[in-house]
Amino acid sequence: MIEFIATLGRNALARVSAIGRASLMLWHALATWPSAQLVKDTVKQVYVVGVQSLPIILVSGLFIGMVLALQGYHILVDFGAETSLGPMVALSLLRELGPVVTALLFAGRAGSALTAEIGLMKTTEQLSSMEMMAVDPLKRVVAPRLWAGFIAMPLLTLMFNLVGIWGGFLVGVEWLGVDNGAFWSITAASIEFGQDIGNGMIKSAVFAITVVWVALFNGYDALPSAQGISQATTRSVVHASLLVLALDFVLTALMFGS
Amino acid sequence: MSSIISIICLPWPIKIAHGVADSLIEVKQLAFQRANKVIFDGLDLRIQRGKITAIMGPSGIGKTTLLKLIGGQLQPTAGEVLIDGQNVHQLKRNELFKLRKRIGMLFQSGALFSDLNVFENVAFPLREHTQLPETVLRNLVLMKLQTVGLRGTAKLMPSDLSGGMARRVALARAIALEPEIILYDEPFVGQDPISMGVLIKLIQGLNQSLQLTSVIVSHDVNEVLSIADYVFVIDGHSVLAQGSVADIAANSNPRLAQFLKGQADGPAAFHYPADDYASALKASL
Repeated sequence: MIEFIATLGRNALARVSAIGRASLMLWHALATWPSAQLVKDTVKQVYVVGVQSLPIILVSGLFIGMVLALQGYHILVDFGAETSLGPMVALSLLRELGPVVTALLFAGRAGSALTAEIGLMKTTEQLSSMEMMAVDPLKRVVAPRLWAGFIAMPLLTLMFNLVGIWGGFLVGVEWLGVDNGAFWSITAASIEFGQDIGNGMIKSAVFAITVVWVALFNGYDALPSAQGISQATTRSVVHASLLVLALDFVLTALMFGS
Repeated sequence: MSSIISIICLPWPIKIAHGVADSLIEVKQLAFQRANKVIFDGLDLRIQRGKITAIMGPSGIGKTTLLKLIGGQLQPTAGEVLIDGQNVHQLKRNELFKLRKRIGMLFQSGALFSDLNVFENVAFPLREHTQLPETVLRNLVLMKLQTVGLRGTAKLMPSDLSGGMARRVALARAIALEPEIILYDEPFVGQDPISMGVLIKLIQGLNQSLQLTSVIVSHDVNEVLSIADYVFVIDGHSVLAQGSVADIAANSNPRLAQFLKGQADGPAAFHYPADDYASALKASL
């Protein structure tokens, strides 16, 4: 029993210590004046984590929009409400699926790559050598990747939403015969900019900070070995995904709970 | 005659300062432990300015850890490391980074940036810490690469280099800012005889031409003793022996003799401490 309590205590201390280290990492990385080098590196990283994630985001968005329309049509048609298919697809994507699925895909595609990259740089002493050259790796390596993630993920969410709605249109209007005018006009009338698009973007920004922070910290804190990188990469995806889902519930309750 | 007079007439503080400055790096009563395992306990070293100092000892004794302690990458549990009179572990982050600009380090793996080509790797510290025009920077990088004999590899990626070449490029990068001190972490590990010969020649040549203070951490006895001015042998958490190469060779300490001659058994036992062998075999029956 005492051993169990001791293990629990050790684990709790390790978690608190990790949160402290992660917070210090975030603070040191962000507390810097913007420089030309930071902007240049951030643009490069936006390409790596953002542009290179586009194919998986666009394809997933398209299929999720199409599946939503297909499922939604068969439910709505029973009540003669198939003209509400547009708002159903659009609101589902804008409020929930867009930010959440983009964040989960981003954690799997870009987050894991960031963790592995930073972990490998640590294992091969590249971060140590940078420190010995009087260059702070938190500012030179971690900061541009943080900013790139913050910038890229909300933009990817927007694209996911647009492609998803287009997928819903293809299935609903082009395939199942929902009226084109009704689809778009009711959709446009149902969407409130602040409530739906704004809240969706706020969610996406929160998820972006969470996923990128978790990914970079796990890489920076990885044990410098092959097994250490493998464990850090797995931990990065699992922790980021669970945090995104938990935060989604909290944010949804705050935004739409009342 | 006038130069003799000018030397004699030097003010007292300068003469005293020169005497103190003979030791560029001082390690005093250093203690360090990792996860309850004692690595160093009461370690004392004085590394002389302008000399090649070798720090030797068996694998796993903490030689790389010592370099990281000297470079301020690790915090000791007790004691201090002074570089040119500055206590490394009491410096603020920006002061430590300022001091590190005076230190070059050659990592065991080379630690070249895998996403930059050879030219950009050597240019990296220059781009970070100087505002040199591109043409001057280019010439400087080519000169550093020429020094290590690898100007022709400027456009290659680190993955295209052999282990020995990667270490020479890393050496070019380490001297890019023309440091006063250069720390070598196991520079000869895994090198073929030709690469080893090249590295020995480079380390010796650079130390003389750039007036460097070189610290080589290694367990390659013959290679290190061929170029070192002063040698420390570390074993059992502190200094086992120190002196010139001749002093070390003449030392009759059996533990030192075992290390220098590479004997499998001796004061450092061949077997890791374990239970009685016969009882262990019987227990498994």
